[in-house]
Amino acid sequence: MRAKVFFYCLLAIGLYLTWRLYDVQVLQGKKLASMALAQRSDTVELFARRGSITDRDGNVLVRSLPSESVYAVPHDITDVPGTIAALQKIFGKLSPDTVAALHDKKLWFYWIARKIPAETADRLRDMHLAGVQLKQETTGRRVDMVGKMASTLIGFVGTDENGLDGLEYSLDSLLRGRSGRETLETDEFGRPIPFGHETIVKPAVPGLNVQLTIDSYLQYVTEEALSTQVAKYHALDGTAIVMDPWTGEVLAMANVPDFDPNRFWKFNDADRRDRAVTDVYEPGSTYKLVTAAAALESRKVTLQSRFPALDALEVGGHVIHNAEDGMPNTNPTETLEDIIAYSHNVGAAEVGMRIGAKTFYAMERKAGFGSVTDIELPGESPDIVPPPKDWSASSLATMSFGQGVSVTPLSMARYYCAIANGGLLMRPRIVRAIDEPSGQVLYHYPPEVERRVFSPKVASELRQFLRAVVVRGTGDPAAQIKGYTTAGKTGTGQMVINGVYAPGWYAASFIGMVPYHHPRYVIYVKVEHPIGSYYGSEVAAPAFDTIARAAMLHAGVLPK
Amino acid sequence: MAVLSLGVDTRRYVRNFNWSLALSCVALSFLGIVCIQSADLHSPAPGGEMHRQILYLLLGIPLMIGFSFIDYRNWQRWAPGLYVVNLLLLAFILRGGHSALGAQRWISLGPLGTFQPSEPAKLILAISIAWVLCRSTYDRIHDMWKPLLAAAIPALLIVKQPDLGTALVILAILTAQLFFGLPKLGDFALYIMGVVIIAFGVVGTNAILKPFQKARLLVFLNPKVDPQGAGYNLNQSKIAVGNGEWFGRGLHHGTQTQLNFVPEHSRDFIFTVLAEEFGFVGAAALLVLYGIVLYGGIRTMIVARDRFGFLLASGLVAMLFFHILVNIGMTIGIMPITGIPLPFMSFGGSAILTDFAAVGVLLNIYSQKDRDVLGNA
Repeated sequence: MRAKVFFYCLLAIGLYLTWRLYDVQVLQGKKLASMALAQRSDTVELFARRGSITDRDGNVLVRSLPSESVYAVPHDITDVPGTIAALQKIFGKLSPDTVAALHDKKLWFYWIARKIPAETADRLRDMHLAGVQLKQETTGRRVDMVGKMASTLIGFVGTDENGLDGLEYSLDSLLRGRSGRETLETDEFGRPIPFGHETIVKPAVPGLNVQLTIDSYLQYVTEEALSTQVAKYHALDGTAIVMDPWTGEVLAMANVPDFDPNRFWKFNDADRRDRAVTDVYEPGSTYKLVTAAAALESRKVTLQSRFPALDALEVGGHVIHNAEDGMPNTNPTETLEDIIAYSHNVGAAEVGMRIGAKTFYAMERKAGFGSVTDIELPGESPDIVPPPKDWSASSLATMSFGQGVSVTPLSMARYYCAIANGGLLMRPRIVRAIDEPSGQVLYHYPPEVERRVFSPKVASELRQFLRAVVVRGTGDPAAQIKGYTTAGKTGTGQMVINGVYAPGWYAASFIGMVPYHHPRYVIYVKVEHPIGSYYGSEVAAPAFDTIARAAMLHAGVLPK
Repeated sequence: MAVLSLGVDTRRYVRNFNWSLALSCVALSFLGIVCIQSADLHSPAPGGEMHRQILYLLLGIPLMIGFSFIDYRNWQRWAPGLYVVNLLLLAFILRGGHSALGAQRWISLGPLGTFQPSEPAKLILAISIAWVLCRSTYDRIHDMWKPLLAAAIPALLIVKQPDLGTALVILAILTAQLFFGLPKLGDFALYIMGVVIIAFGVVGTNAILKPFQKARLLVFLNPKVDPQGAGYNLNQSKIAVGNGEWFGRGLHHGTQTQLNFVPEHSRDFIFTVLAEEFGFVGAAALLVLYGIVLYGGIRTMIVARDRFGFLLASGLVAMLFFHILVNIGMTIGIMPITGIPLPFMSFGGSAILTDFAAVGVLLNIYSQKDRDVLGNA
């Protein structure tokens, strides 16, 4: 009897157990199985290579390499002194913290080095050190292949390959790849299982390559020529730009000082910015071409119009003098061409006052001054070109020779491109094309005309003036190159430091083009605060000569 | 000569051999080998535990056959001596035993491995209590102190190790044997009430249970209290069992056990390996095999020719059943986590040898089912 009770008790409990198993395994099975899957899976990010930056010929300026980092699993290290010795052979002396961590048997993870070069990783792999592991990083190691060259243009990236300055910053969304995601099976410590089930949830998308308009050869020549002049005159800084006037492409853009993107943290911000777009300066005499363009385009002045050649002129209570870099008067009257060629401030003021504020200001704006150029570079400063309502009585007179306005070097170079190409204001370009990671061109930027500034006839007359500067004016003979015809304009602007003119501080510049009849290149050179001389012809024109000659030879045009 | 004087009638032995009981135990132990091999696959020394378990089987199966040849009535005579030896062994490991995972349960046997006296202690207790219960009719309630004391002394020594699970097994054996041994069911009801009161007292104070044991009990009551700590084993085991679903992940493909999410999977959690890799179908088949073993045990009780054989068989059936229930129950969260092995399946020499020896005793009792009680007393 009791045995029967016992039997049925056991049977009942056995059936209950079976039912519970059915409940857990079959009824709740799906849910528990998905919990199991979630528990043993780990989603990792996959490396997406950041796009390269190349010059216009495809030469790589900056690229990313896949990188690996080394970490230790001190728990798994069998021979601690041997491992430390092997690591020190590769990484040099290890820090006391690292050595202590390697001795700690309870530790499961310790970084030894992040983003090491591939050769180092391979050497480490060949050593087969127990407890020393390599991990693929999801971002690469950015390597600037050309060092300091074009550094202010290219900029630099942070530790996670995030663009922080220059084109790296402004084109970050194109260059940056989208890291993929992969789900790996892991053990209870989250370590991936070798030969486990790997499911790529989302493949990594590498970043696009960016082809710049930069010509490496011209960039090199430009940097050399600029730094030579800056060094020769112990100048504060300098900027040089080479542009193709027909397309608006920037072929070279150089700044002194510059920096090394591979060690960007060792330089301060003043070394790292691209002064060609971030800094405005008073252009001085190079701006007289705006006055001349306004005068000719408005037909208020012709090539034959003559102005009294004076040494001084009183306007609105201010006395304007011809600057020291201008050439002395020889005739009682002078033409517009003479004013440009000899860089007469008083003459320019007379022209300006003859055409009037409205005409002058309209030409300034048409010529692109007073707004940003929208080039793909970060931190571009708008020019400071005040409207007539903000002017004082003498403003029109002084602005006519480039005082009282502030512009960026790039604005200035772009305007001279319009003179060179027959009157079209081009949108300046630094990016030539966007390429797929495979190398296929995704988008090629066509030249973009902003607007016509003046008629081809006026452009040709302005070029004639610039030619006169070189042949018989302030650029004679500084801007003449044997075998090539050049045209250009010298400039000396007063530097504004903290809102006031700094006595004795000048920005000496020369903007020219070569060859004269059909300019292939517009070359801009500016040197700030030179010591010993501040004439554009002496400080800046020699760099122009070097660059212009090299550019022509590079283009295959031999001197005649 | 004592053995021979109660010698085996070979013809009767062969005629009455309970093949289904013996063979299902052997089948379970083979299944155990398969699961241990799988559980051991990713350990630092794969196959090590499987090879040792095979060795234990090579000892255990002859041990079962050997025990089945020993007339069970001998155990009644040897009971006092066995009981004393048992107490000495249990006392010895409290002083000089090997500690592992914070508990002292093992005696080192040098190259042979370790010996865990609490495993044979269950078998010896079943024999001893059956013996005690045969010495008197227990018509009076106050005679009950004898079997209670007999069980309490080794049980307390085992709790002290600490090994709550084995102590609970002893309680189960005692309970089953009192159920069948006490003439009045009222006395048994009093015993049950006493056990319940003491159980509440134990849980309510910190005197007997170690903190980790209490934590396990609390977690059993609410597994979500501490999923990474004390509740970890329970949750992980349940996930692994559930991951098996209908037909399992396949041998060696039980991710949760293979990847060490479930701890101790060749010993206490061997069932999760089976359940995850062979699914509900495999687990149910295992339960059927255990059902055959238990049914054989109950058949043995019924056919036992005397009170001692009946009580001994009931104690052994209770022992096996309690192991199965608690071990499988803990893997699916209906029992608290205790270190009770799954009979014939879990890795461990002392346990499997004890299981085979117990079945050997049952086989002997069964084989004497048509013994003439009067003629061969």
